[in-house]
Amino acid sequence: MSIWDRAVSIALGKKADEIPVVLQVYALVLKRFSGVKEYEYYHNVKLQLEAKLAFQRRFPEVINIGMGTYPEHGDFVGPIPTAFGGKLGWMEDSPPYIAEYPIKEPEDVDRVAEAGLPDPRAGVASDVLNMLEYFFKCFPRDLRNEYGYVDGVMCPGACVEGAALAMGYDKFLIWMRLYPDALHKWLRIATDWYLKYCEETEEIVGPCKVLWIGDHSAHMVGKEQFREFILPYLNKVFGKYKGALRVWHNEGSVSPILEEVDKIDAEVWHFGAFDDVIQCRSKTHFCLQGNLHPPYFSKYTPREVEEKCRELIMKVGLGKFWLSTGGGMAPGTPFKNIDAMVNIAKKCTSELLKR
Amino acid sequence: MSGTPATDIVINGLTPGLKKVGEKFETREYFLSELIFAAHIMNRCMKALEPKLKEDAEKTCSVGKAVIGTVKGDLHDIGKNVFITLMRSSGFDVIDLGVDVSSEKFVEVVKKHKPEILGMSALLTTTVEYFKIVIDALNDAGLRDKLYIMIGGPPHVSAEEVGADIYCNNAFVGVEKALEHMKRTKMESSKE
Repeated sequence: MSIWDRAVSIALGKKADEIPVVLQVYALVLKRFSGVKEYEYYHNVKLQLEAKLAFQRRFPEVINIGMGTYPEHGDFVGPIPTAFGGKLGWMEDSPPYIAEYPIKEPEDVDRVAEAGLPDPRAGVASDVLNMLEYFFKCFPRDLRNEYGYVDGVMCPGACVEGAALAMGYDKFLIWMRLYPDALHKWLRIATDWYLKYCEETEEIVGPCKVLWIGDHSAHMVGKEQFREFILPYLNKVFGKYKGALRVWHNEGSVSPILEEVDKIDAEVWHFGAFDDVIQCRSKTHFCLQGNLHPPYFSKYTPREVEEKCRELIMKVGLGKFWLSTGGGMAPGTPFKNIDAMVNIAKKCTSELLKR
Repeated sequence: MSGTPATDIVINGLTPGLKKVGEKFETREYFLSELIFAAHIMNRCMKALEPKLKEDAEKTCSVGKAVIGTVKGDLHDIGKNVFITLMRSSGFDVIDLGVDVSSEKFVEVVKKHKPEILGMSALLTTTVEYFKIVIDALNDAGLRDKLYIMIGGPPHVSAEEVGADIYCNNAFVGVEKALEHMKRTKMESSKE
């Protein structure tokens, strides 16, 4: 059984004899791994792939999920906003951002509705998919087999949050009260395009086996708004890929709405440091991936890493748990801390199995 | 009510309402959504009241002057904007530098406007380090000592570590601390 197959079995509750270390190590860390600033990292697919492979070879016991082993080029924020005419802004050493919002007024929603759905390769999607083709061609077979990378893996970026990014978070939240009908109309259009983009991605990587969606919109709202404006659209996408391993990444705290969050149709939740693991365990169905606070993790000594990981593991126990940071790895995280995490996961596993 | 001074509307009408929203946000009864909507209402009201407030301002003094911006490399402005709205409604004269502000710009504006307070915001873990860069630049320019430097944003950073005076995890706490600072400063200067 490969490392990935074992991690999937754990996630699905079929096995409970291991604590996989599943991280999300991406541009913020890897740019320094490859010795360049972020802009260059995002624009050089060869360098990007080399950095990801070098990281994987350095940490053979770690699974690097989501953007960690996927092309990064505005892939998280960009697809929905730029497909509808928004512009992506680039900075020298920070992630890209939406420089121009395509949805400014409710009339803009009517305009995009009349225009029909854009091509699935519109905007930055085209660059991301070209890079994905390169990954598909060049990603070493041994790593694909062992870690489940690339083949059937889809990370289409922010979904409901992508629609929010096309208008700005503040407008997204304000429209929930001022223009709920226009917002629903926009969310329907954006989700339909997103699904087309997913289909286009499958043309490259093959039928979906893993769907990784980063979407932080849930932590901005209460139960009613989550139920009305977020859950139906997220589940429209997740629901289409039943049978794949579906991962929802959101490190924003959602403790007050856990009963609603539980309705998200995914198997794994990459959760944040400000939600309590016991509460999340008892109130949701997910395999939990988390949740050491990344900035703290980057400053701990290896001994502290061991202590904090042990504390967490002993709380959650074996089964339906992937040890990770609560969100993407912070820049400047010492590699010895990742080593310490891997070691303590093994130690704790054998201790728990003996009990 | 017709004839009510604009400042009264802000101080006795809008601000307590906004404060209540802040309290409910703290206890997690309200979320970012409610906070943003409250700030939106506040902004609309402030815009409508602006001409009257200007008239009143000529008759009264501002609580103090603050320069506020999101640091270089970071474009997140929701928290900063809520903070600015609250600071203005509490009587501060605020210069909003926007987002992606360089240390040179912070130094230039502080030198020119001589604020009592400098507020810096960052959300990304990568840009939090920039707080220290700005504070070092202010130190080098000999401007640090006269400033009360406030930092904010979700990443939990230590004010001490970057050389700031205080870290505030939300805009409401920020305004309280700013007002406390101004009160302290005025008491100290009246003793002198």
